Amino acid sequence: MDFQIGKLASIIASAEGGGGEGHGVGWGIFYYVGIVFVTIFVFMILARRGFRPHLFIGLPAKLAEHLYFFLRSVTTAIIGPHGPNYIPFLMTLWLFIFVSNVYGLIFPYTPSADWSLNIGFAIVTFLYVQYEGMRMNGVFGHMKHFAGPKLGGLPIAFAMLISGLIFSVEIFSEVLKIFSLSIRLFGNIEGGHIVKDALDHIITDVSIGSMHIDGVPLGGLLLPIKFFTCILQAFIWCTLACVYLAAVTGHHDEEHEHAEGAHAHAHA
Amino acid sequence: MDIALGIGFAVGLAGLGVGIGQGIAANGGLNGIARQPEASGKVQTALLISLVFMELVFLLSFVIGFLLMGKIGA
Repeated sequence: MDFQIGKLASIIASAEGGGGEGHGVGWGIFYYVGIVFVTIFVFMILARRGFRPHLFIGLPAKLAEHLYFFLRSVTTAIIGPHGPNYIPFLMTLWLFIFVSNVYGLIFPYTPSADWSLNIGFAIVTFLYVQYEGMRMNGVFGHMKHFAGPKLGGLPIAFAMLISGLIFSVEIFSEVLKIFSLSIRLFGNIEGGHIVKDALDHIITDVSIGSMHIDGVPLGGLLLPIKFFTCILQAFIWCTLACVYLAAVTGHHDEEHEHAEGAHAHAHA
Repeated sequence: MDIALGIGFAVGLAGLGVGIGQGIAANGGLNGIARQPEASGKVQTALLISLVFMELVFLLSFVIGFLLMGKIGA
């Protein structure tokens, strides 16, 4: 444990000076992760203080309530009646991604602009989806879901070959979800930073008479659309997690819905 | 020089293709909402998910460009 104050200071300095080329920051990411956690924790405490039995008082409590109802409507629409069970997980993801994205607007570096944190989140999401699928359908049922539909009327060897093929392709695409989720967040946030840097460098070293301007921060014009991206990326991560959860857990409801639809169709 | 040109072409062509594809998808989604406004919620979700998967193609090219950027002058 030869962890020195000077080393810590240099790490923090390198994290702060990371800028667009935020890679190679090393342990400095935990500094920012800590800031994000503290922010979420303070927000939660403030929101909790506003909770009353019949009404919520104060802005943080109302914001938390809105976020809850928003996630409840999304989960109910995508997953089905048992969707609200997954709100704690999705709320955690939403808050962390949103807060760290918003810090990316202010600070030169943000955890969600680093692939390492995103891939960690993606692995957690992936494992949680697998766990929920196994919990709902059993380990064997969950594995069977990858093998595609039951192939009747075919020779047994041929059906097993096709099912095995579908199984391997499904497993591959399931693992690929880790990369697609993490690259989506990383590319959007880091891409925004690069575009902002490029816009900042359009006008540099202007001299008007005796007045000298080092640069015009045109990248600031991107703030509104980048704030929109912050919300959208947090929402998209949660939506995709919902879609994945619906795919592995929603079989009973789907069948029920299909049966109901067929029933209504027959009546019409 | 070659690498810089390659990055420009990669990101530009990916942006072109993804822009056309997302435009077609948004066209379909908005047509659907205009014809049946009561289904707007479901259409929005499906549209958003399809747009996201299209955007991933661009982001992959962006990542490749990002990786190539480290090789300029190396």
